[in-house]
Amino acid sequence: MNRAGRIERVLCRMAAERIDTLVALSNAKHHLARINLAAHLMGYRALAESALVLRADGTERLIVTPVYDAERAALRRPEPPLTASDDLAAALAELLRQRAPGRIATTGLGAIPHDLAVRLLDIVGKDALPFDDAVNEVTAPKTDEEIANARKAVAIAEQTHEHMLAVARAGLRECDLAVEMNLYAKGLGANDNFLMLSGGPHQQGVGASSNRPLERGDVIIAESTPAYDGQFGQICRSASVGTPSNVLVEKYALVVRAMTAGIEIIRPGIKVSDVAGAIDAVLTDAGYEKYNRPPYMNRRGHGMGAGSMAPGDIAIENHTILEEDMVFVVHPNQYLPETGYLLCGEPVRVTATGFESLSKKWAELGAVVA
Amino acid sequence: MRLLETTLLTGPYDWDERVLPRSEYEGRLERARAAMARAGAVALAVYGHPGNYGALAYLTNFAPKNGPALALVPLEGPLRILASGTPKMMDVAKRLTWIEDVRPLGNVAKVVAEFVGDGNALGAWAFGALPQGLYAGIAGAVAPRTLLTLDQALDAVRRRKSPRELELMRGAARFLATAMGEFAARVRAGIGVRSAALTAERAAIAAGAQDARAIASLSPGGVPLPLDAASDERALDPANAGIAVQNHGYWASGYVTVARRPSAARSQAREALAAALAVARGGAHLPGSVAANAIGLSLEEGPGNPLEAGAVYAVTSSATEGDETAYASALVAVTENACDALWQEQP
Repeated sequence: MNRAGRIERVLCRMAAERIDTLVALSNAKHHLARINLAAHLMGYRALAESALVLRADGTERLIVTPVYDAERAALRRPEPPLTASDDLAAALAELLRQRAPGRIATTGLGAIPHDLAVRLLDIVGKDALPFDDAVNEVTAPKTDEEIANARKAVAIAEQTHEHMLAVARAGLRECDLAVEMNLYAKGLGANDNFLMLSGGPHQQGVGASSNRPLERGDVIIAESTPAYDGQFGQICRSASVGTPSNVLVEKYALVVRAMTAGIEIIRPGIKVSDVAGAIDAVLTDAGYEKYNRPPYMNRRGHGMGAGSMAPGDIAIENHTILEEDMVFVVHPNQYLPETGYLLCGEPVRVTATGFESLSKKWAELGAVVA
Repeated sequence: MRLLETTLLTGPYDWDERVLPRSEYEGRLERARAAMARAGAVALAVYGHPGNYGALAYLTNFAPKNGPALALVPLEGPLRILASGTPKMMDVAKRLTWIEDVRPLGNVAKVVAEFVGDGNALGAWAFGALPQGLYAGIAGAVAPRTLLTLDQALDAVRRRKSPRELELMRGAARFLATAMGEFAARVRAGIGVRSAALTAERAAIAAGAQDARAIASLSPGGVPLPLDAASDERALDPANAGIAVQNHGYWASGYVTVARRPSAARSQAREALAAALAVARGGAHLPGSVAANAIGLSLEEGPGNPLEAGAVYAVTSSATEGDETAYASALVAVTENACDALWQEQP
């Protein structure tokens, strides 16, 4: 599927709901784990607040702010006609004045900064239909371009992990290691990196890196998520500072086995909850049933933005049916009493008959210099 | 300077009492509480997110690394921070601030309403940037009590820099000079702007900066823009860059034009900047061709028209000739009678 195919799906849904004009609004936050449907439809990471106005007849117009972002928008997305303005609300009002909008639906309004949202609400009217769920539902599969970018993002993540293994050492602060990884990923072409990285001898969970220096006996855990041309791709890895203990090696093999069980059943038509259930089953068999819930784990994976988070969290409560070209990461990310929190995770694409692993080499417990 | 927001802040943001001691925050809190009392607010809620957390950091040092956060400030008694993340992440979040009470955001609207208690009005700072859904939730939960916007009063307090803050901004300015020098050297060597920008960021961080972000032209003499596509690697002449670096929370930013040949636009931009700096002092209005914005814990802390004594400004002059724009800029601390250049682009 390409961007035109995605827009076509939205138009079909608009027709079903008798929507004449969709105003998709972006708050310019292009996050791994937050929905930004306007960016998802535009295929463009706007510098500031922006909108895609899509009419039922298929005509569309992109409004970007500030004015000087026009050069970048035209370079990245030459297809839709473009209006550049320093005032999104005024530009939208003018556009809707030029041609009667009819019945309006919106996405993203709740995420727009309050001061601007108040003005936009005046323009679209209080009867405008919130259309976030509908658009999210019909745009779950990634486009060919996004899938290609996800592959590149994951390749960068894998190279960045190898770099981490080469440069991390006892005494280095977590935050300095994280900054070095970000710079390295950028040098490989990444435009952003959602990098949760922390170290400790027995961690309860992963968090943003702190100023704490790494120590011998720590386990470094990292969710490394570079973005390539706006598409994020995540891998999760763990590494011991110094030689890992036997119990750490054994338990890491267990969480990798659980992850593998979850990934291997992936194909179109199964439920997301089936993937989570397959992971839980391995841990239950190993005697860790009580650890298959928070606070010992959070979720077994998730979709990858920017734009859409479909198919949502890989969780036992999520009964979304998997479709071809959905892209998500499967990560058990599990606390075990013997080792603390361990991370392993691989990104996958749902294919016509199964799954494609976007990573070339699956998680193995690493070790860095103590 | 407008930058693409990064999804997660990764640099060293833990509170360091040796750099910004409690006494610094106590003075700020006293001024904020005086503004609250004048407005009749029994409590203050302050919003911050990874793209702009200046108001939040001003009172708490808290940098919301991975999502939105609020500080709740009573007229008397301890503050509370509501941060993005799971309960397990709060121990790490506590390292970012001198505030002891740090909790997950949770049902933030309910928590804020409970915090206000029987009071009549909640003061709000930086709520204009609060996502509309969250704003509506808080306003609804607080109703019928009033939500008072205190941005004007508190932004003015924040713009006036203390000696300690000025010293940190001087440090940021030194990192900025390093980054600018590196960018110019790479571009002059024929390197593409994306690599040059990345090298500039690396150089600033190696020198000790907490964060460094560079944007650059996508075409010869073009306006600096985010280089977020791998295809943005181009050798350009002239090349423009905007660079922002951070030192213990404090930003320094500036623009530079790197060109092999002199141009009328460049001369014009430099002359306009020099003329502006010659008249820059508290109360002064700069010429129309020169833009200024207050800077500090946020890249933009307010307009520079007129300039205020005690504030620091990023001052930028630009001139266009054909399709090419040239820049000249400086970072200045404004006093009653003059300005002190913390950094200025070197010809």
